[in-house]
Amino acid sequence: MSTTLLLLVATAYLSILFAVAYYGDERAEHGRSLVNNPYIYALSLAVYCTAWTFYGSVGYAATTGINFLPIYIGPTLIAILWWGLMRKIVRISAHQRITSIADFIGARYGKSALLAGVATVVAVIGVVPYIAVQLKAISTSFGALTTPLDSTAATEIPIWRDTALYAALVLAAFTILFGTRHLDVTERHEGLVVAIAFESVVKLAAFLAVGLFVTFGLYDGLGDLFQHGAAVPSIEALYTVDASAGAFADWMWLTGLSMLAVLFLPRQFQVTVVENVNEAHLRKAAWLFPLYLLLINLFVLPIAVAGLLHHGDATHADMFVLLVPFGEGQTALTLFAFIGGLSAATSMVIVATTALSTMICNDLVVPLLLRIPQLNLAQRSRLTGVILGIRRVAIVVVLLFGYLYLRGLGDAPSLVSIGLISFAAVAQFAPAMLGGIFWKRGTRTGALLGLVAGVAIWGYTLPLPLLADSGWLPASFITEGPFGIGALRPYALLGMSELNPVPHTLFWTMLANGGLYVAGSLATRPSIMEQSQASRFVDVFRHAGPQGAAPWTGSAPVADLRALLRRFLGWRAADRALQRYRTRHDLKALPERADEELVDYVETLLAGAIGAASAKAVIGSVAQAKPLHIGEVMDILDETQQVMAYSRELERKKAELEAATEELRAANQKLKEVDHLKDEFVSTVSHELRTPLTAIRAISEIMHQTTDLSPEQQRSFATTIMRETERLTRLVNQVLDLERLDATPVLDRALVDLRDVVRNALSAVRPQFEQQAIALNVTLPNRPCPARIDRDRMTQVLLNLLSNAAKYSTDADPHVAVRMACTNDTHAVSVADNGPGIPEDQQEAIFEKFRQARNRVGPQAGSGLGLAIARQIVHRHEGTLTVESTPGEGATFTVQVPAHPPEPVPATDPEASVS
Amino acid sequence: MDTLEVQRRLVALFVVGCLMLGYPLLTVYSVPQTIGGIPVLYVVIFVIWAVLIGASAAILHRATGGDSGGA
Repeated sequence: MSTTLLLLVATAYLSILFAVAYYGDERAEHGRSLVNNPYIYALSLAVYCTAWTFYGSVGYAATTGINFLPIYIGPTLIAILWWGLMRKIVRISAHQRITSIADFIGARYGKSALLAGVATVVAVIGVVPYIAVQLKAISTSFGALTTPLDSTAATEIPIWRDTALYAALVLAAFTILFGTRHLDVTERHEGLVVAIAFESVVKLAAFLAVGLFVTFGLYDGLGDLFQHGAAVPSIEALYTVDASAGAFADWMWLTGLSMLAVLFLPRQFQVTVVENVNEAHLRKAAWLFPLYLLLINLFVLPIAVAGLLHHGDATHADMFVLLVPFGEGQTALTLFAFIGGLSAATSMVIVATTALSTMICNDLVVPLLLRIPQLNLAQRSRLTGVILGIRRVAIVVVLLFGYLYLRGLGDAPSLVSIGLISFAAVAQFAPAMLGGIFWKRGTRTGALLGLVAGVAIWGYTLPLPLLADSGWLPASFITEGPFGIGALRPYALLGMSELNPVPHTLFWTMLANGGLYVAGSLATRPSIMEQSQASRFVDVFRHAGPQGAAPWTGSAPVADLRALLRRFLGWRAADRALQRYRTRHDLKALPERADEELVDYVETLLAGAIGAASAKAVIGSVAQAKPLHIGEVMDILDETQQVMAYSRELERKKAELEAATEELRAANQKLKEVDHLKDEFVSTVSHELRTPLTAIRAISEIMHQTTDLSPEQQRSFATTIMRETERLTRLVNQVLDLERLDATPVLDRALVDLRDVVRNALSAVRPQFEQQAIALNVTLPNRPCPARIDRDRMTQVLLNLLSNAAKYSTDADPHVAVRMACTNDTHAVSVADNGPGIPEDQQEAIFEKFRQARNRVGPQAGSGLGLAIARQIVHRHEGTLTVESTPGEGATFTVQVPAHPPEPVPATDPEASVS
Repeated sequence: MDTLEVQRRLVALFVVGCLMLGYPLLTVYSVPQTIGGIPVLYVVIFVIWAVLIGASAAILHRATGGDSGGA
């Protein structure tokens, strides 16, 4: 086939592709979007099927039978779960204006620029080889039709004649045209998506055409074809799976790996999530996409079998799709197949490059530029051009990088193996992504540790040994390990040689990545920003729309925000966006100073253009963060925290109630005691009142009935009546006194010298003492004893003590000693008698009301209230009244009252100088 | 059918799919016999595949709405 014809066909096809993309963009401009359609959406997802599918599957099937299928069965199975899983990712991304998978991961973990950057690097080193493989497929397919089969390898072609290079350049041009036409806040590329959907139709149609031709043109249906193959033992072996457990292990691992790949490949994320215009489209796509996969795989094995039958061996099995119709002289069909392969390769390259360039720009270059203060990037007037420029350069660099990788690698590995290496690389996003949308506790540190560890092991166990295959490293690196360390053999880490390379890598990376993600998350506390984002991601379905601003977003002048938007989005888009905000909130005009909600709105808009991490940094340059009140965070941050706050409140109330109940119980107890005491008091008082009354009444009756009383007797009776009446009066007075003390605790306190009080009391009782011939021994200190006391009350106390002493001075030689001791803290007055004393078990009881009346009956028994009153008065003075006694040797009562602090200048207080 | 119910059925279908198209059930289909000249393994895998797609389409299209409910 002539080179010119092929070039002509390829050019014609690419022109059609440009036209389709242009048409798609035009329709979008006029508001009649083609993309808002579940079938276009489902077809665009078929970008999953690359040259690997188109050419590589047949090659792989020709050597291993149906082992090419797990790569498509995995996506089929996981697509069943899309309605839950992918819809969640799509919803989150729409709310947060996510622009790429790196952006998603960075945004989830507190809008971390570092994490997004690392994810970008992982995506680039994982996907570039995959792009290289597509370029290689284009040049190989070109070569297969233009040069004899057994000619020289691609690496020896001079660079200016290498079709792969030209393919790279044309694809760069296409991607720049349709992937970076304008900077959109949604980061959607309608023309591009329409073109991709178109390419999906072309590649499916081409593959089915070849399959139908082989099955029904060359043979008499599938049964006939397979039976022809069954005649050859090596072909018949392809009809069953190798019975060893290892083959099945590969099957399972690859199924799992492709599930992760279809979720997390940057190009799949681009078409499934970023380009999604309506999440309801997922409902159809979740079964249309698997149907597409089924159809494109239907004829893989038949074509492989036919190819083997026609060519004898599997050397050129990767090109059977072209070579079988070519060998049969079907030029038109061959050209169609060539176009199909071209479409498979170009669609992947275009979408992958767009996704990578967005990532490189938003999550790598812009954050770095923002960090260089000299550039002052955020203050520049028009940044739309700068950002688009960065993306265009990134597209060219990625494609050239892919091309150089292709040249450097030579033609050693097959299409499938490089593809699987890329799959294993993007599978490293799985823990951070899945954990990120289902587990709130995942932290930035955990995600970072897991990702870095996973990628390090991936790099060591998959791409590095390829360098040995290509001769860049000694072969002993694989067979004996670096420096002869067997445990570090890249295909058998720690001697694990059971698994094939890809499952081996997958096992170790998932172990390290997942393990470190969980361990690192549990070992660190998420920051407030991380917690907020975690809640927005994990609970996205609980909220009707994008959530309100976080309380710490702060406020900013609207003029500054407008300027920022204009810089990054251009004037028109910025003004339109603010207009939308005004309409939505029904505002006449925007306020001068934006509140949190508007700041958040602008930040989300910017995130759509330059990524979440960069947007946060840019907004940070104008927004004035509000000082964070912990109460606000508690309230708004997390519903669970609100619940916690409520339960804490309940807890507190409960404790208060319990304390109150306890107090009530104690009060009730005390009331009961007091009530009991009152009963006792009343009965005692009645008893006390009755004794003299009985005496008076008895005498009065005698006097009344007996008429012949002698004057002596009358006198004696009258004296008794008088004494008993006095006793009654005293008793009533004391009861009143006691009641008064209980009712009015107010003392008439003044600063006095305690010695004067003692002297007063002594002079009052001295006649009584002399009358009873009681020796009085008084010892007073020389210096003043100032105290703040109620003089009259204190005198009453001392009088009570002195008269008690006199009352119980029953000794033959009675004497009473009054001693006084003053210190700076307390003053003590003691009254000691040498009477009968008080038994030890009675020493407290005598201070209780009426105790004395029952237990100590003496000739001059009193009311029994005196000591109770005395002690109460002393207590009111914050003092103590105590007794010490040895029965038979007398008792000593001691009054202690706090001293008034000595005055610095005694002269200023006339009272204090009294002595 | 509400979203949660749809998701329960989809998860069940996913589990069934993983079992039907995974080890060790694959060894049952991996036999040298043919159906109309086509190897049994090949036929069975594609039939199961098609049934899975049909079943998930049937479940998904009974889902109401699509804007509420959680994953």
